[in-house]
Amino acid sequence: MPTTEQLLKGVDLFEQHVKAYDEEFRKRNKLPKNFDYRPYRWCSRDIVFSLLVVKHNRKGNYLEVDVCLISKPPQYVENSGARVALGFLLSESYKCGGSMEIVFTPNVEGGRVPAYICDLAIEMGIKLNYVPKGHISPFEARQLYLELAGFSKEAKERIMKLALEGTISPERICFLIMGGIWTLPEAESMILGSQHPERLLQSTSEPDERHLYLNDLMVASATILGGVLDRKLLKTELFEGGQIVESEDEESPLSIDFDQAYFAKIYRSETDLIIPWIDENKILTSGQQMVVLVRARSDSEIQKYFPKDMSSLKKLIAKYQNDTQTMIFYLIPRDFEDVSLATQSQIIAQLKKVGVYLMISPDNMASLNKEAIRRLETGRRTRQ
Amino acid sequence: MMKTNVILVAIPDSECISERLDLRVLITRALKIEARMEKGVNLEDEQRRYQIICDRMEYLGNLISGTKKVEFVNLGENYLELLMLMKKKFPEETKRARVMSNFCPAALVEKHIALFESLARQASLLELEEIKKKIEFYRAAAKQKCHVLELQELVADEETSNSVSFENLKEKFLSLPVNDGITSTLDTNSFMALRSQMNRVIDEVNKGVQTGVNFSDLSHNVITEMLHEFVFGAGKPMYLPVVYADGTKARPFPIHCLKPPEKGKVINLPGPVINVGQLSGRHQEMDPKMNIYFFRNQEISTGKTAAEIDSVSYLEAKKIFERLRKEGVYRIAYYQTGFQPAVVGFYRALTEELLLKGKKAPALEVTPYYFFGHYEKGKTWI
Repeated sequence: MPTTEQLLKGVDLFEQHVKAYDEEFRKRNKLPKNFDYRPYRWCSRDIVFSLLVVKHNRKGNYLEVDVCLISKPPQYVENSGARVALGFLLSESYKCGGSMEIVFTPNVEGGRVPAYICDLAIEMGIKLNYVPKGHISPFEARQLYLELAGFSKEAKERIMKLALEGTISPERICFLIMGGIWTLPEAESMILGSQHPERLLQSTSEPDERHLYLNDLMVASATILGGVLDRKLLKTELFEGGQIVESEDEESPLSIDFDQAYFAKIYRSETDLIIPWIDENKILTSGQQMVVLVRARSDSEIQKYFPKDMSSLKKLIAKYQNDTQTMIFYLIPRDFEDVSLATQSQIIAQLKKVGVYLMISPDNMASLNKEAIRRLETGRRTRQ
Repeated sequence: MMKTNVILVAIPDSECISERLDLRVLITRALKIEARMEKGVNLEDEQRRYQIICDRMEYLGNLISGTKKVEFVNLGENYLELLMLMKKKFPEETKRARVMSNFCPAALVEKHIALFESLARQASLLELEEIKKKIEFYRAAAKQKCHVLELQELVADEETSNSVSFENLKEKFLSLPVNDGITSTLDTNSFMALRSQMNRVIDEVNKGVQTGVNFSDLSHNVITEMLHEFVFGAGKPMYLPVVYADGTKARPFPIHCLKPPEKGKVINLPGPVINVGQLSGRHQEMDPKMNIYFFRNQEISTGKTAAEIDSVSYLEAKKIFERLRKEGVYRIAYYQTGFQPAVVGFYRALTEELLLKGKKAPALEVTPYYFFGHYEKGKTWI
């Protein structure tokens, strides 16, 4: 743990950097380059998690950290400040195109790797070999990044296989999540649910190669459809000043798993949750499980492929039937409303017969595809 | 895991219209866009239009195949994998044969399948069931004068197996070559720092570590002089991976591949020296001194990633050098002003051009002059 003196010195230095930054960039309406010192304050509401000042060291091709102050707010999970700080440092290091080595200057706890980051590394079971010298090597950075991203064991397995095949680096996958292009559950859906996640995650297919591009687009749209449901379920509302507001950083205590065999999402909640987008009032009670077969289909595809989806649903029911608490859902986009009324009734009746709830997302295929194209395009401009 | 079935649908002219959409019109539009995309002008807009048209064709294809009596065949889950294999082996030919396209107008069906068959033969895929089925289907479609659509359906593959133990996998993963050393933080000048970075990357490449020299944010004279040192320096010829600070990866740079002129030997190429500025419209104070600019700013500053700018500059420079080669001997005083990806792209093309001459007498000489308000002469590339 840093000493009080180190903390105070760190805060002073941070303020100096902020002043210098204001003078050099903000007041001149200029943007800093990667190799300029940039101060960052990581907060949520009125809680500061970390104060950081970083730059890309051009000569050494590493990320140089001049201020790294980390807090341990008791309201949050263990080492949350270190998680925030390390997540940013690793992502910034990747973004700057450096070697992934991180170097702490003597201004950071006398030039060592900060104690809270060491605690976090211990928690994650990763050995840091250059703590007194203040360096995190690219090898250590790779392991820290992969652990920090929070993948399930199955997804980690697939990522490691992809890295061994040399098709995509784990750092890129982690960056796509930490950089907010894909959420963790979305990335898991692609990694486990697609034959070629490396193509999707690197956005390598071009629109003129229609077969490959369409294939990626279809998986990406299904992933986004599942992601929309994740966000809907995770969203919590708070009562503040007599008004209901959406919470900025608090989410429902929901675990999200993925059944890769069926491209289905599995949700378990620790509190009661209202299940959205279905025709009746249903609640996912604490400890209960819901399995959602995600199918991003247009109206013509819904009609054409419903028998196949029905067959998958029956298998899903058989797979999860031991657990009577499990509810099964069939999630499709709003394009369902464009299907003829007679077909709609037939589909609803068949689903009812096997005890599956029809879940219609407010998004349609056009908006899902649009979002998929945007994400693929953003991913393309990310470091390889 | 989701797998993809590819379904071929043959649609005769009489069945081309559904829900006010005419497949023939869409096909004509798509072909026009393909021709425009080939030129690379307004590529993103064209790609967007192409996506919309293809999407409509697929919608129509699903509709027609679901409601009308048309011929179709399912090529199964492996077909797309075979196309990828074909593309990997013969990328250019695959593109020319429109193998990745989702439609084929009736007039092109015969030509397409002939090209496809020849490619499949070259890739030793001709005997595979999926390929045979496609060729047979296209031949029948050609006879019936049908248009062909290639539709995709995602299907859940319910047999997902995991045979390797997690611990074994992790062990292998951790043994992947990644640098576990640390860099000296001693302050050095920019030339020494880039030299040491390039040496480290060479070392890592030799160990099989995924790596790259980051040229971003470095002064253009430092980049050029260090590239000169490594291109003309002694060592095993190799390609140096290149990355930029926006994270993009460019073509690798050939190093240790050219011989410097013998010590003390001065090569004097005939003819006048031409003053060539690097990039037009950037530093107008240079205009009176320049005979011509090498790159047009409009062509190079495309606002894309650094690797793309590097690539555009490299390809453009290659074209210009090829033209100069045909014209004769050239002596160029190259007035540089920065813009790292354009600098790297230019010198990559120059290195390759100089490599082409082999043992023949030199016909191209480029001497960089670095612009810092005044000009500083760099080492000559010949």
